[in-house]
Amino acid sequence: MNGRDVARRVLTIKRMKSVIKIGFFVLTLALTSCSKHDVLGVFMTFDESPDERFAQSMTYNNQHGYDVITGMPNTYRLYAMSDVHVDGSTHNLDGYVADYLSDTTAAPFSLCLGDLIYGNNGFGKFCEHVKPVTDAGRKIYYTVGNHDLYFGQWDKYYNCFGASSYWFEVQTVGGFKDLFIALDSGNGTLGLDQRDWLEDLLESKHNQGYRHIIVFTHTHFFRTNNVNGTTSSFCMEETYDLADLFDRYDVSFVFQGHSHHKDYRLFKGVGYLRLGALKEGSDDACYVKLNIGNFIDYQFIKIF
Amino acid sequence: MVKKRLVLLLVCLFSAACLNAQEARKHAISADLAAQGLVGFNNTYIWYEGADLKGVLHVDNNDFYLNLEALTANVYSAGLSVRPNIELCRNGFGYIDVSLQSRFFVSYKVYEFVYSASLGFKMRHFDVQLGLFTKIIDGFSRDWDAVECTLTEPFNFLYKLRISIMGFDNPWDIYLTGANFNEFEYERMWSPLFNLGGRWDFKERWSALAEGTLKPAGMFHGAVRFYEAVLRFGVVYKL
Repeated sequence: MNGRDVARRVLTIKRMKSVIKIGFFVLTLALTSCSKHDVLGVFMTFDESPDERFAQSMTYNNQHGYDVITGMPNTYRLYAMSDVHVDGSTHNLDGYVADYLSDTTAAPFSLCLGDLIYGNNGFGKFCEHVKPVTDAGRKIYYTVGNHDLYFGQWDKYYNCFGASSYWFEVQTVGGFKDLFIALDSGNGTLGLDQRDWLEDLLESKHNQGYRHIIVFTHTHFFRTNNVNGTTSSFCMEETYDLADLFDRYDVSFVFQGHSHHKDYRLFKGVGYLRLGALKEGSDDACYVKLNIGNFIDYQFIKIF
Repeated sequence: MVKKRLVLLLVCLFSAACLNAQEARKHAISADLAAQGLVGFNNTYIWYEGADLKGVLHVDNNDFYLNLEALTANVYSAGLSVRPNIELCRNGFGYIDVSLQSRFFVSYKVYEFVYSASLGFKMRHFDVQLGLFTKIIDGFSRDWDAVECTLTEPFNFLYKLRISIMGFDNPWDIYLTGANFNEFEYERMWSPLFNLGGRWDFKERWSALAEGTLKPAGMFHGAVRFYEAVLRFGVVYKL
């Protein structure tokens, strides 16, 4: 081995050491994460699976029962928000709460489709800022988003908001009934048990004379534009399976969030409405007002 | 009966044209046929089995692919690809891939049609492919008065990275693949499929294949969970 070979080997070893150092740094970053992005969650998660969360939701439902809201007018105004991502500021959330509470014709319940917080430890702040809603005797129905699961925060979510898979019924003074079903899609899949529960529920309910069956969940179903950023949706098989379930059991509307983009599509007679995001700092932060009557119409409201 | 004769006639014509091209016009023509059985589990179908048939016709530096798949979950796929290869350097080929693929989800009364175009570069241990595909989703068995059953998911990013441990021309090989598509399915950009497979050329014209595929859900939700695992076993015969 001559001097040139030795020098080349030394250089190779130095380069390998540099690569190992960079790899170690990336691995450390992935394993420790920061307080906002759960980088490790891209590769593995150690918290509850969709089936385990569903079991907890069912336990909660068995203890608390399912809500029946009576005395609603035949056409009522429903407020819905998604992807609030409370982090430092709560300007948009406060705007939503103020608009909702100032609307005396609004239904006494509204929907929130997940991603309440952005990173770690935000549920306390979120609850604090929606407290005026509960103080006014109104209720927000929640379902969990992927950000709410980061850093193993399902337990905190569950303690604050309860079940993420459930249903409630709205009865109007004219004798109409609407069924709302919340689905937990925080992992981009419903899991086996929740999917079976959904089919059993639709099977048992769809012939009971409901005017509308409305499903709301976090993850969106169709990637109908190319501006979805890094948000993934359901796998194709699950997308088609659920779309078929909604078609077979006469679901009227499916409300979704997650992609931060407003969109509406009709597929096999079912309306798929993506709410857009109420995210702090977003230029087009918005929520949705819906008029639920014999027909459903919606309006995106921009937060300034 | 007439149809059978027609098919037979077409097969004979195709074979004669291939022989003529080989002998008279001195084209290099060969073909591979692969048959695979598979067993899989996912959150939607639960357990399922299936069969794949893959045919490749090599004409000089051009490859023509026909891929068929049938699953017990009542899902059927058919795809066609054309891939001209261009030698860019010693051991390195660039290729252009143009594919059409249909997948029928009969139980869900939905089918999808995909068209894709991509560029690739292949070396002995390395194969990378990047491109775009558009997916059209439509329902069938719809009511006569149904409207707006068609959805288009345009300009999905298509990617594949394959690393061969021993090299694709070695008598045996182990390979790793990360991609959002394979010969039978095209997933969205953020739903990757991971493969670990092996090939063994156990006779002059015969190879054995085994491959495992893992498809996670919610990977780019940052809240990844298991969705699907598939095992494929098969043989390849070189004509």
